[in-house]
Amino acid sequence: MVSLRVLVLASLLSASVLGCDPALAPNNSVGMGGECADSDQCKDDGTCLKGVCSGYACERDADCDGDLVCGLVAGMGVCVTECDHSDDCLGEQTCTIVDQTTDEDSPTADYCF
Amino acid sequence: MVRSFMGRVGTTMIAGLGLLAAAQTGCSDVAASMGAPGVTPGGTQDMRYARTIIESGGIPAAEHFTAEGLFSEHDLPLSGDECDELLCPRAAASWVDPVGPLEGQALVQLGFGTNIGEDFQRRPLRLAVAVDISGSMTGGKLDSVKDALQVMVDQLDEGDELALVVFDDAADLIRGMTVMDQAGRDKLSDDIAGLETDGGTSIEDGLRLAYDQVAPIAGEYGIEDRVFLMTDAQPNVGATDLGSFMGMARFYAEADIGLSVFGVGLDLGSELAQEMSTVRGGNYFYLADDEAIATVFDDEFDYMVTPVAYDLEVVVQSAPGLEFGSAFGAPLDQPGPQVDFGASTLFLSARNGGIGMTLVGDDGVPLDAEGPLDLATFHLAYEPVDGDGVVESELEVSWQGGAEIAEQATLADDLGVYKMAVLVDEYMALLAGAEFCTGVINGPEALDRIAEARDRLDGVAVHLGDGPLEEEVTLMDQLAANVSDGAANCAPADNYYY
Repeated sequence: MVSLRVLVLASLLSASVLGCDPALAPNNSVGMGGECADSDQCKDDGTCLKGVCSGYACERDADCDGDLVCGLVAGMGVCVTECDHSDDCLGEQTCTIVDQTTDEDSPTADYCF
Repeated sequence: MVRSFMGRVGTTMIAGLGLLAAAQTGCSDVAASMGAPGVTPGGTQDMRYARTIIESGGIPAAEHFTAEGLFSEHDLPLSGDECDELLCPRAAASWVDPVGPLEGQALVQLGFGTNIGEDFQRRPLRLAVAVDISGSMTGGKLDSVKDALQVMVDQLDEGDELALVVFDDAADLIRGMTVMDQAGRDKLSDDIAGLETDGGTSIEDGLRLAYDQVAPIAGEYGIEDRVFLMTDAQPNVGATDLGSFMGMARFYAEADIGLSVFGVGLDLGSELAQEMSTVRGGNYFYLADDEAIATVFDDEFDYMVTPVAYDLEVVVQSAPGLEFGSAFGAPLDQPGPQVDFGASTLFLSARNGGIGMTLVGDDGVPLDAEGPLDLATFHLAYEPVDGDGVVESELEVSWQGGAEIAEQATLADDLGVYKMAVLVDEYMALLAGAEFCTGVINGPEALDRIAEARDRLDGVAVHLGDGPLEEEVTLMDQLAANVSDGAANCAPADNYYY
């Protein structure tokens, strides 16, 4: 019984250290585009959307981390992942046709959402 | 009448509404006792707020009512071939001489058949409810909300999950996402009973916390992700950044997390209703009394949480000599530059709904009531729920000279558009009341238009023996009395009417 408990704890610790289990991430520790289990884990004003820290406002690509770009979503600048297929997306997000609407030349775009 | 349904261009075949979990386990009970559902545009789905104002002796302002809210309260059926797809667009025309200065137009109703039958079962819900418990919710408003929540909790089951958030100056999570088995229902019932009013109002905080309960686990196939907001207040819908009410609603709407707003109290901010009319996945209800609560949260609950398509956009190609006039009941958020009308969401409904649009002579000459006459081709695009993308189709519309209703004052090719014609008259009469209040027209002119609409409503109500239309006649009588009593009865364009 004791050994089983130790094994479980060790497993959880390992997962946490390796970052494999989003549920174990401490608050305010996951950056934009990182995997999460709730919004408290997302840095700054991010929201955990379908397992991914999302919803960071931006004005230009440089405002976004890593491969994320500043996309127009319903008229708002948001850091997003461009995609061709849902395999490009993390968590439960899928490659979605997103309304840009204020951009008349390109009213939709494919983003992970 | 509809001459042809040209089929899909960007094809996506939808295999019935197994999509909506009819064949899945863990679904809620069937709403079959109401018969097969219809389809109606989202947005404002009732006109109870304006009705309450009129019945209280007031004259509603223009932002207190919408055509789609009025249409949603009536069954507007259009005939057509049996529908074996999720949505089958249909259209029919009537010839109208509408209340007001305009003459001789064709009113076309765009409606939808569906293959969803009486055995419909809604999808399991993953729902977060944000309840306004601010000080302004005293005086029975919070009691109404608690009654509504209890009615809802009683009919959720183990396939559903529910979280409860309250907000005043700040937001608090009362209960995280909870499976609604018997134990879950008991817990939520206790939580609801314990709600008390306190403090100021921070809708954005409440809404954010509610979305945070749904968003991390959203996107599971076959689950309807949705947030309910229950409030008497007016969020700042003019702000559209990510932290604002409208910004959040639009952002999460792109992730298919819908938002239903429930208003209480005569001091409700009506701008909220108007804005909600347009957000993808959004709908709005006014909880006027116990009857409204029972209708919305018991009888029609399964439908109001079941969108069937998004982003309906229609481009009208008018026949030679005609041009697009006006659209009625078309709540579409941020339409593209070429789009004539549409709706951000189509929901299931206990009644057949529709969108109205008029065609007028491009030289200003009133249209002839004689048919047949080609009117227009509608180019439609919409995105079915759970589909693979956008469906495009064409619908040709003509006027047959009154194929269904030929011997009455209002001529029509089908029953739905016959009723819609007089509801448009009522909408114009309501606008006349509002224009009287803003000084655009004088009292006698407003009364003339209200009387004209009242008589037309009465004619169709008597002809069809239609109880709901008879209630509209009574409403017009009350509105006329309120206008006769003078501008002191005008409801302020903003909130706080008493």
